[in-house]
Amino acid sequence: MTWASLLEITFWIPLLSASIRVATPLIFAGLGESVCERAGILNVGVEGMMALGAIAGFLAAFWTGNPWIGFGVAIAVGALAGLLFGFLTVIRGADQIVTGVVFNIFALGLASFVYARLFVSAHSVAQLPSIPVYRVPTLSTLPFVGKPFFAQTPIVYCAYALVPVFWFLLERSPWGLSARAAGENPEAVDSAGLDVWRIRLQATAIGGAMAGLAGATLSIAQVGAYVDGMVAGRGFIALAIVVFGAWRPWGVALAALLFGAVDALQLRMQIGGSIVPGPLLVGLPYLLTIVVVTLAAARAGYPAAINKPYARRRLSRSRRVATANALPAGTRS
Amino acid sequence: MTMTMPTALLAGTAMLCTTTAWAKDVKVAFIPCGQINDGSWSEAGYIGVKTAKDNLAKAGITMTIDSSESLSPSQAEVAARDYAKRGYQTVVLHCGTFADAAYNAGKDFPNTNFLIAVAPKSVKNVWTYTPAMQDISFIAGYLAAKMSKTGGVGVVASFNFSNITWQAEGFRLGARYGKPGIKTFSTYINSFDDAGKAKEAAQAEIDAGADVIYSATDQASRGIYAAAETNDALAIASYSDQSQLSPKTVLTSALANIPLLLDTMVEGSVNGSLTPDKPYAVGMAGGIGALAMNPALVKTIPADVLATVQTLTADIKTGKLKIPALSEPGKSEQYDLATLKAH
Repeated sequence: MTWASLLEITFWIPLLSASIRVATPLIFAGLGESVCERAGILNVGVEGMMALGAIAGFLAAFWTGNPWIGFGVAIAVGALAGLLFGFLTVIRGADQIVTGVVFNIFALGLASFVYARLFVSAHSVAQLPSIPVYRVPTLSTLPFVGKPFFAQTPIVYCAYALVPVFWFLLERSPWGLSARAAGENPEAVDSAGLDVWRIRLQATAIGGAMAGLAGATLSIAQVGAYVDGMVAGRGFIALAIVVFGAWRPWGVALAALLFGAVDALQLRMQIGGSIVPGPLLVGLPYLLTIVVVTLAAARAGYPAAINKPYARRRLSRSRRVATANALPAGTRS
Repeated sequence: MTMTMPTALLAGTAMLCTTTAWAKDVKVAFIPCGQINDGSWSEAGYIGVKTAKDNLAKAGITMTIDSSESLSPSQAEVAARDYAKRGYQTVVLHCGTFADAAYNAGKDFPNTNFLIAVAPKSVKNVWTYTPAMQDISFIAGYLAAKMSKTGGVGVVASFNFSNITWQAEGFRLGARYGKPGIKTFSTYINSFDDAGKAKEAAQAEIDAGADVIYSATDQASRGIYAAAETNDALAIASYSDQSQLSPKTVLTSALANIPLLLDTMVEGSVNGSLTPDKPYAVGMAGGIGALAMNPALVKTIPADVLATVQTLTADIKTGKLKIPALSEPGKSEQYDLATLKAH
């Protein structure tokens, strides 16, 4: 890349297209994780859940020949994994970070084991046909933004659609209000007669389902194959994106797009005599992650009750009444 | 550690027997990056060690193999020391990240030979071996240039490191040899498995005007084939024959023949024929590097190009043409092609 190419539109349009492609799985995983964290559950197991989604979705799509069934299965498997994570952390009260780390090791190993059992030893070729690009009528002919935004595979449009859905779910719906409250002040939610455990389990299921979808996006839509280690740290980048996007769906989507843009840019800058040293370019997305987390740490916006198990069932009735009475009048039901 | 009970017993029996009739019993330990059935680097190495065992058996030497799989570099050092302590004649560390483990253990166990994959140097009882892929990559580059319609070819590589960079630059040099003035690109994705990133890297090269993409990465190459498929471009695979993974795009595969390399090294170590302090970077002269053509696409290659591929192969094997090991991305662009033939 030379300085002159920066002035050409033929450089920017493919770059924007690539940024959106790279961002898509990050958007899915980030949206799910923001729901989890807002409800008070830090799911460090996103990486492993993405790997499970990638293998499950790929297998379903491969055996049925239908990529959409693949995405559906990935979502279901992700949701189950999320529920399992929820069972351990919400109901059993296990430490969320430790559980997440263990979950990653388990899920990555399981995905690799399943794949090796089914394909590597049999030396059979497991390849899906690539999903064609769908050009949205009229919109894809718009100048500059038309091609990057509206000449993509259908899964990218799903990402566009899910951002407002998650915004509504989290910021405007009654469920979102109780989920956010469960992440900030679970005692208040409990005393309002709502079930904190149920809300948090729903949140982990949503988080897992979205991680599964993110993994399947990689294996089904982007590569058309499952490869061990193909999630390659995207689950951890999603965790950073959620912080950078301030736990809000629109912010998360923009943060994912920024990460996508940096990665797409570094790949393009490496091509043919770069103006920046190569090793620095390759490390750019990771550098950005560190910078972002450092900047966001100063804001310290994590939900107050994150990584704090809520021992609802252990409270006696009298203590619950006492806790409720101790709360400010406005939060009492 | 995967030393099973029966192998432990066998090893024990072998030790007892060394003092009596079977004087030529040796024990070899194999410590790869991954698992010995990974269908890739680690398995290829294991096959080589097993071949060495078979070949040595013909010469009356009984060799036993034990392996420890999927270890971290620090665990690998512990395992290597343990094998050396138990009297293993050769310990093979088949992973580039185990270099420190090999040098450290080598210092403390001078009576054991350590073989280490892709490391900077050979010292005393530690020998490094490297598949010098620049030779075959040069020919792949020549072929890519001849097959390119757009006048651009690219390589998507894993790490900017040692022989992987030699490979990428060898390809670019070969492309220039095939078509002077051709545009050549290289991109490093810092991963052997990130197929999504490999796809984007290949797409970026295609967007910049390349239509033949060479893979210098491992399983991530699936992404390169996916990019080639969607853009009607061609791909060239590395290390093993991958034409069946994408019959319409993989023109040819640049084979590394890792089993042969390991067989040669292990036999050399057991026979005591390795040259002290010599790093073994083995290219086509040593049988490392060959092209496996895709039967479905080989007919699209013009006859004169195929003939030149044969000539180049012969010239590199005999040393008439010497391909440099360029360890900096972009160095091939400045390299004077005339000096290739001067050797």
